[in-house]
Amino acid sequence: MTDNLYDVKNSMDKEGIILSYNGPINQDIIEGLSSVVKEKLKFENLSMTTTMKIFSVFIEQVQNILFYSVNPNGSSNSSEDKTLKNGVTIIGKTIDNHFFILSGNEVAEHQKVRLESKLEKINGLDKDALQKLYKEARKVESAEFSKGAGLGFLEMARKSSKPIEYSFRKIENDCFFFSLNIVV
Amino acid sequence: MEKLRIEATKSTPIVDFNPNTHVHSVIGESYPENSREFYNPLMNWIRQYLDSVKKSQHIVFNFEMIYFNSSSSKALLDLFYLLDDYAVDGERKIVLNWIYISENEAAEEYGTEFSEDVKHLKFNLIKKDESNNLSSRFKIQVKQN
Repeated sequence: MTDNLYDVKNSMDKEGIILSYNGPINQDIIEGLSSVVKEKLKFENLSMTTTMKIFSVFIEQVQNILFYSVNPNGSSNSSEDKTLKNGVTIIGKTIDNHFFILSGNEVAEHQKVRLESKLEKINGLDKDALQKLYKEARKVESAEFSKGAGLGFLEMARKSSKPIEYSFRKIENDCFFFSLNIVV
Repeated sequence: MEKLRIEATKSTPIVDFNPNTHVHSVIGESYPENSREFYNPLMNWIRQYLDSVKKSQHIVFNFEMIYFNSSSSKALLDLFYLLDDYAVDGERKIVLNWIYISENEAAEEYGTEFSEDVKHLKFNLIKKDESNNLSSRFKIQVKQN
């Protein structure tokens, strides 16, 4: 294990990864990671606008994990396990000085279907249409938007310089690993 | 009417609602786990306050949001709608100042969008050059010689 760690670190450096986290996600952990993200981004000499874009996408992604990720230990008897969410978050820099913000978490099949149609719709919109839909979605008072759902993806899309990249990999019967990549 | 003072946390702003000065402010970052839980008490306070204060009273709300997540954006809009509903009565003099530092383009953009969503409230967009401690968390530190 100790022999590999240097290789793992090197390959992450090669990929341009400046921050990675794989583990439980709750609000305290999100706040802790937020401080790390802010500190890391200070070293990148970015405009405040770019820093805010990266930070904003990061928060929407990790809070999505918090709200919607399926708990892999859901069947466990421990009540603590039932509320624990797990996810992966990665921030990195491309050779041409863009930033990518990746997130990954487990979702159920019915969520996959909804996510796909939502993301497909968002990717078909230009900047003005995204703004319009964002403003409309923000006005809607419904259970779906109670945690900011829907709005979160629109927020990410508005910050993104490319269409949102996403994929679902089947893990087991009703469970998929949802990967999301936003480039700022 | 009691003051409402809430200190900032990592994910919630400072709230300072003062029924004596009639100047009320919300300053900082907003990305709590549950935005409604944070903003509902603010809205309840505002309702009670506006119901008790005389209509001709000049009232100022200063919002200096450095960063807010999408669910806070929804909660803020609801709060602005509440103020807008009171401002329907033309006698009321309610001003909302949306304050942002010049480098924070997102804050300017969202301020503009909020201003388009309210009808009766006097909504001012105020750009300032100087940043405070809270906004410096997102900025490169410029060394002073």
